[in-house]
Amino acid sequence: MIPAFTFDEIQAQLALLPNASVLSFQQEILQPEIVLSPEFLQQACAWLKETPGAWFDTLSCLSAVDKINDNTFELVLHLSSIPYQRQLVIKTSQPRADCIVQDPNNKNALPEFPSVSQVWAAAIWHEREAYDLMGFWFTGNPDLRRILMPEDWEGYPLRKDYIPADSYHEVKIKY
Amino acid sequence: MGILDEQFEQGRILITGVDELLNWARLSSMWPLGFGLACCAIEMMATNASHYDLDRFGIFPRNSPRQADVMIVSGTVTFKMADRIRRLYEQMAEPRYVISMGSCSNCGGPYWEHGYHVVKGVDRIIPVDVYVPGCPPRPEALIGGLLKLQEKIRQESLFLPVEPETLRR
Repeated sequence: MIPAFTFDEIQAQLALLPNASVLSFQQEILQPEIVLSPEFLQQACAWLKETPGAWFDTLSCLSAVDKINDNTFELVLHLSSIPYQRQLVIKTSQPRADCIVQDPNNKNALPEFPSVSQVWAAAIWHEREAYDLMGFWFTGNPDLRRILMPEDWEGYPLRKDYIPADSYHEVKIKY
Repeated sequence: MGILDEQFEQGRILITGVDELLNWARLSSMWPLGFGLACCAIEMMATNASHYDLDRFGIFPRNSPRQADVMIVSGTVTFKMADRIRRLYEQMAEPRYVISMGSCSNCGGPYWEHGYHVVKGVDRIIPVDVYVPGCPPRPEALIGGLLKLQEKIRQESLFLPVEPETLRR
């Protein structure tokens, strides 16, 4: 097995990729993190997974964050490398104002992120959950529909500005 | 139950009322619908198993609503599940009874304030006969609820008008 890249080397190599767009990089914190622009996410993830020396072969966690005070939606990926026994955090965000994708199931406009399901198949269900509860749209996900809430549910309940409806199928929701 | 057993021994002739006989038969074989919703279901399964042995009351789970007499709503009722519960209840043949087991099913439990997805009490979708408090209730509490239901069935009569099923909305 070839020796692991240091995080500095990972940063340098990522910057050499075509159309690279690394916004910031931190490694003095508990888990090293890379902030990318959304357009570069798919390419960077594929590189991080496939390249010997990086080999982040596992997507541990995909989280959606509603940063309502910054007016952004943030996507956080926790990657693990089983061969090298280490973790890496990838972050990317979209401004709330840039909710441009039309949800085919209702009238809402959603923030758009590229799907990483082509890189890690485990992302398919993670992205469905982020779509279901936070209203993120993942371009390239083969099966993006609600996973936990009923199909005809309105709204995305974990958003900070979510207001519960009065009733669902004629049953009162409030206590 | 004891009254009948004693009378069988005296010449094998039994004199009783129709209500008493039917009620005795019903309360001695309350078959619950075998389904569970959340952590309360673990306690319900423990109650069914050998330690607490519900079979001694003639209670054992059936896998079809057509064969079930009692529905034990054991756990959190989400709105997604609520439609299914209502449908299962409608598929059960009358007379049918409902036991609401645990705080979630009684009133929403810990989800009463922020649970956007939780029905705040299963009595908003189907009528409930017995409420068993607890989070989750111990098997003894569930058995207590079943005995309460037996008492309720014992008081029933074929000849009196039945109170219509009501819902709290």
